[in-house]
Amino acid sequence: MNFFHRINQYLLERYPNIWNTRLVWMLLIALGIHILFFTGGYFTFITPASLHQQLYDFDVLNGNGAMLFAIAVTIILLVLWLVYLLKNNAFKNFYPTSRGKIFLSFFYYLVIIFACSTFHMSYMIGYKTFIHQKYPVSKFETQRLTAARAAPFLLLNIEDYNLINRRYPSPFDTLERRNVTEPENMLDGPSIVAHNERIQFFTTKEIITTTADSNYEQLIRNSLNYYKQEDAYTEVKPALKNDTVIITMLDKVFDVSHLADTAYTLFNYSNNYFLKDVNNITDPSVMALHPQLQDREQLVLKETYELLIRKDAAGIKARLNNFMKLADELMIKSNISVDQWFNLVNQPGRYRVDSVINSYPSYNDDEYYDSAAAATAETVDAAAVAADAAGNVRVRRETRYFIDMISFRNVFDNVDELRAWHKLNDFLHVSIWIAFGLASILLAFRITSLKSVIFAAVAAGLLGILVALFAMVSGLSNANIEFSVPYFLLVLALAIFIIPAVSGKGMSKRVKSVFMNLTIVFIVPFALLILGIISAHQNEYFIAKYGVDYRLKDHRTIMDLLGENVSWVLLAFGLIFIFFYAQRMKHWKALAEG
Amino acid sequence: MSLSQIRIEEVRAYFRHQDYALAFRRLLDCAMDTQDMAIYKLAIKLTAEREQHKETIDPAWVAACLELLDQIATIPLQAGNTNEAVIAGEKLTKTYGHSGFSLGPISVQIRKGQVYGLVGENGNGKTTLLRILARELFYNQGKINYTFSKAPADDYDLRSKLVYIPQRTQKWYGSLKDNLKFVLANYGLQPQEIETRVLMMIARLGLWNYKDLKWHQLSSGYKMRFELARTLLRQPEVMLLDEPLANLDILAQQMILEDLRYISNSITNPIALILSSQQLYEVEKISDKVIFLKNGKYNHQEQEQQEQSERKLIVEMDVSSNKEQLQEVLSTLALEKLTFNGGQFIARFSDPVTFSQVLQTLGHSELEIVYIRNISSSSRRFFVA
Repeated sequence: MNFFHRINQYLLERYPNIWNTRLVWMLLIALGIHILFFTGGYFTFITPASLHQQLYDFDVLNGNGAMLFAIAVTIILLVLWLVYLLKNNAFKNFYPTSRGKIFLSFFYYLVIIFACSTFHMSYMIGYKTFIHQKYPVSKFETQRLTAARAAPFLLLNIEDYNLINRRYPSPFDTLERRNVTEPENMLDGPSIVAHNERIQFFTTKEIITTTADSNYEQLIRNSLNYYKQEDAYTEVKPALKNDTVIITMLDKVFDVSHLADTAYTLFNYSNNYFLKDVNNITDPSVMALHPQLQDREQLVLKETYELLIRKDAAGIKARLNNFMKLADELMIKSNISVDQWFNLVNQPGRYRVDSVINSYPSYNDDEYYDSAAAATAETVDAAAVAADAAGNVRVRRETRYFIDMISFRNVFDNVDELRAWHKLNDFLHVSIWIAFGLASILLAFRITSLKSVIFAAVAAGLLGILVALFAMVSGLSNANIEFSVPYFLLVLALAIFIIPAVSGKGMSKRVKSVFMNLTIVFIVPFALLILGIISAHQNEYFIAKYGVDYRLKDHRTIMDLLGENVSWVLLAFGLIFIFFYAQRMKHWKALAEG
Repeated sequence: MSLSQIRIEEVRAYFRHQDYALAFRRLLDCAMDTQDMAIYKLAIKLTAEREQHKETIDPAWVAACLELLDQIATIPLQAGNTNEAVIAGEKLTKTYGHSGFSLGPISVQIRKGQVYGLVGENGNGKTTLLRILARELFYNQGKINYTFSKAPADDYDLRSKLVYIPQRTQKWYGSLKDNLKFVLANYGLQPQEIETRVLMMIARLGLWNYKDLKWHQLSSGYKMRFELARTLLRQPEVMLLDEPLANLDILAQQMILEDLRYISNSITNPIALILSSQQLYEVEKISDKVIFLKNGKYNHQEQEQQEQSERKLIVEMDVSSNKEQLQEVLSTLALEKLTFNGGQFIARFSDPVTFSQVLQTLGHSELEIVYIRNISSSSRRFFVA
């Protein structure tokens, strides 16, 4: 207690602003809570079983309710802080102050609110740190390869072993393929019948044309997407210019029947699920990685192909062994031993797939475990037998074996998801702006009064209604809303900023305080509005001059150029503005009333 | 003999006459004038000792006080400027549109080292005038010049020099001492001086035993004293107090007024003090000048002329008789008018009758006198008239 008192007195006598804002204590408390949240986050995924369920975006963000808990802690902490903060107000008592001191007060509010409202970020950083430590990129890539190398032998889905999936060796690696069941949808060219459907392998070509081309409609009808269809719609890839389109056409259909095996066989397997990072699939900006993925896939397929060609039983068993070790490490349930598994997949010759392993345990686990010892092939799928009969393959059997591949895949997907940092970055920006907004309102309250802040809120609401009415009228009168509304807002904002400065004694101190509060709170949105207007004009100019795809030709609006940095630029602007505007606040405070 | 020497001799005399309470308060005034931290620390030590042994006066403590006085006497003091008016208001008028009340035109000159009593009935513009002088309110016409020892850098700086205490002061939160320290820290004082200066002010205003209490534990009188302590720590050149005596008992009123008079008369930091009050007698006792507002008007020249020309005796009294009996008793003197306002009788005498003659006459009569006061030169005569 004595220690706290001594520190408090030290701060009070030397740094009254820091003492008054309780900056040191709040940051220390926040640091402690951040450490707790970080620790909580770190231990969230301490057991691999916690990664077995699929974590959707909200789960990642919410983290088992950690976000709600963080919000509750934030509210309690900030309310308690406000109780202490509002005890002394040097500015309202006309104690000497300066522009710098007022700015620093605001900055301290900002820092405190930010520190007290970002506990969930520490939680996120906690689990990310754990994920990075537990599943480092190099180790995780090795695990991906282990899974990818064992994937052909998992026997999960019989259709994975159909001819249409074959991507190795050449020419299967480059050919496109489609399966059709209706003859009228066939491409002109040879096809291979496998399991009651026709599979065609082909190449494509691209034609660049314009909508004004007299053959345009015909080209569309002949395009791959609308092959011989009457009800074709305008294509397809990004236009180079306004009226230019790229149409994908069929080039040539190949006959690969002499290379194909129409039965379900390990040679046909080419699923690259484990080679992909889910974040890279969903993020369109990393399309460039796809060729890389293709290379990796080819490498694994080549290894598998050569393994099968060599009939390398030891090699196959080693892959299964490695996979089961990884599955054990990730606490994945299964009821199959490596030897049992090996017996199912090791069918030298054409390596046909005649048994299927389940990818999830029965809801009645006991049944599986009880019969696990005797869980060899027992059930004969009569329909499958009939279907495969045409292909002259052996009988395919459902087994009672399972490997919990749903959980296994979830672990991979979840690690990818949790490793991604972009959500944390978004969270950072949102937190900064929430803190900035609250700090602005608090500054307005500390400089003026609660009444002035409430009046400012009411005024903002009324202005909002006015803008909405203006937008409605503009919309009805067919005006260009893209410009008319922003310019209307600009005029309103300029009026708010300028009127009190030029009004002199004609405006009461209270009314001026409302204008001042609106300025403090809305200056950053105002700056964003100006950037938006400039950007909209640039956009219009570039479209007129270079077409809608001007960005492909290296032309950028100011918002494009700033990108995510717009947040930092606006933050810097906001801080600089508050620093200079503090002089105006002093000036307002010194005004007489009445 | 310089002013400081005269004051020191006064304090010595108080000690000699064993008026220890008054002597010690005046000693603290002298100590505060030095602005010397070593002196402050000694004075604080003596205060702590005195508060520990309040019941008895230790001769050693008295000796220490006199020793401190000797030390103070060796420190040369630079007297503050009291010649120029800190606030010079000229023909100030303020009109409230909604009520139609109009204040002024009023011209006032407020000088440092002087106490100005602002009196008048409710609704006559006392608070309005104080707020105008404190730049809290706009005035419609007129002009105010502010002259401080250091010219204010901007309007905010000027407002920070115009220390105005409204009638209803705001609640303090947290430790009282921390609140006082916060003031000095904001004024950028040396950190090592802050504690000493705060304790010195606490000692001077008789708050030693209350410094560790909370705001809600204080009586109205002590709340006002803490408010004064906070204000005085700012070392103001001018203080504008609106009804500082409201809600205080008579003893607390006298104590505060006496302290204000002494503190404003500081040699090194004289303060121009304006206080509004309804307590005419108490305010008049300590005021160098009384500003009487009636219907928003004040004309000091007129008031002074009236004071000079109307030196007739006016006596306010409460006697246990009816008007006729009193009139009969006083008829031997040149009684011009006798009025009864429901509580007291007001007797006006036309010829140069003296107050002692009135007392003599009443003494010889059988009337029982409950209360009597000569209000010939008091602004009370304007109220009861």
